[in-house]
Amino acid sequence: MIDHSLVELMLMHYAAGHLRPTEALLVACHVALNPLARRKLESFEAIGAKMICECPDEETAPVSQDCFDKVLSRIEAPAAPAPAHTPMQRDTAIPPAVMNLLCGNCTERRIRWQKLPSGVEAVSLHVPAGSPCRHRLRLLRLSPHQETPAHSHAGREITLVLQGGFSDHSGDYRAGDLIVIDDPAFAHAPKAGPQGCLCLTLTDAPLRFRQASIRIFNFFWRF
Amino acid sequence: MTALCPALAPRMPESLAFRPLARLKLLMAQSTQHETAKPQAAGKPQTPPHDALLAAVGARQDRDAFRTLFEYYAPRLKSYLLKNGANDALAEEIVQNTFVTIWEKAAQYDPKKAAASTWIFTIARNRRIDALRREKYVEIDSDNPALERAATEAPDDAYADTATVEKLHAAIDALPEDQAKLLRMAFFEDKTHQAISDETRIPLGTVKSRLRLALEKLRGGLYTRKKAEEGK
Repeated sequence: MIDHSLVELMLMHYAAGHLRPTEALLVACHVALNPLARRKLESFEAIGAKMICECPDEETAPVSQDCFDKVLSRIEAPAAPAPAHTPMQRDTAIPPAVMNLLCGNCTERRIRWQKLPSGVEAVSLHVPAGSPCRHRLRLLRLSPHQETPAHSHAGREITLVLQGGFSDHSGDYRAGDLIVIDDPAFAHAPKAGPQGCLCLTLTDAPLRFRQASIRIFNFFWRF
Repeated sequence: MTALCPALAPRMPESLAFRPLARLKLLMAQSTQHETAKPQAAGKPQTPPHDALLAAVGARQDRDAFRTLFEYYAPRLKSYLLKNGANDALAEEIVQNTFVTIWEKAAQYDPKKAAASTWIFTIARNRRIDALRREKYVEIDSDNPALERAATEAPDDAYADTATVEKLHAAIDALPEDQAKLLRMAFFEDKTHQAISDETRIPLGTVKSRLRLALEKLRGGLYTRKKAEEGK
């Protein structure tokens, strides 16, 4: 089954600063798109703050004498020019942080979608440094009402719906929803909604397709 | 292992794993004792002093207020950084970076949206990640047009106001001690569920179910109550 408390655990670990860059990216985008997730995250951040404020006096770690002076000298130094503000792409559902990870052969205007044997269009993203090498980050696109072949997951799959939505037997998912699947026994056949579906997925193992003809492709294409 | 146990996956290097249990017990005991002495926990309507101080830094670059905040938070943040695996020199560097950022961004601080402690904590967290990873933590991009959309759809974005923070604190304080302790270990000290299980000698399955219970109680104490109020 899809365990929805896994999403909350991810929010908690994001709040504490313990996620890897790939996971942090998905959570940050999830929170940007989903007001309820944002409120939950703020609650977890308030918990972190409470833990810091409640640190007993004898456990605090005194900073060196000149620490505050060093801060003062830095804020008095002439300010470095602010980094150039990157223009927003208002006409795309892809968050800027994700656009930055598009590989070199994709221009910002034109993403080179690759058709996978399952019928899904995909584009691989650059995996930020500091993430495990088995992490794969991809954008996936389904046309309206498109069905995908039934599959299960050898590892963990985290999906953020960026636009449109999809359904499977476990429920309907819309833009802003984060779905964490971490159960090798869970199999589903997602079907895109009437507006199609654009999502960002993070996987750490290939999918397992049930249909034999597609299974063969698994040898050549790492899903 | 990771595939079977979801919550183990979003983890930091194992080298950050161990801290004595005695410290936690002390922290737990102290946290309840100190509750009444804390100025923020007292009267309801008054603005917590840290919020006002931070607002003063933002409004008129008030150095005295800045110094007061530094004196309170720097040793606490450093303690948090040391507990999360930084060495002394790195912890000091991150504290400095945190306060430089606080100074630079203080004008953006809005006491209606967040408690100063929460705002400062998130900055320290992000600076810690920057220092450890040499790669920026993906922060929530407030320039993201999608976020604007989300904000307008939100029925009430004043969730992290003082009253709610108090409510949240009450919800945490109401947690049974065993759950609160595990939450602290998993959340604050970045321990894997396995490490918590080894240290507390509580079976792994129990650790997970208690953490889940703790999260459910926090959720029950916050989101549902909030909804009930909205419904009135």
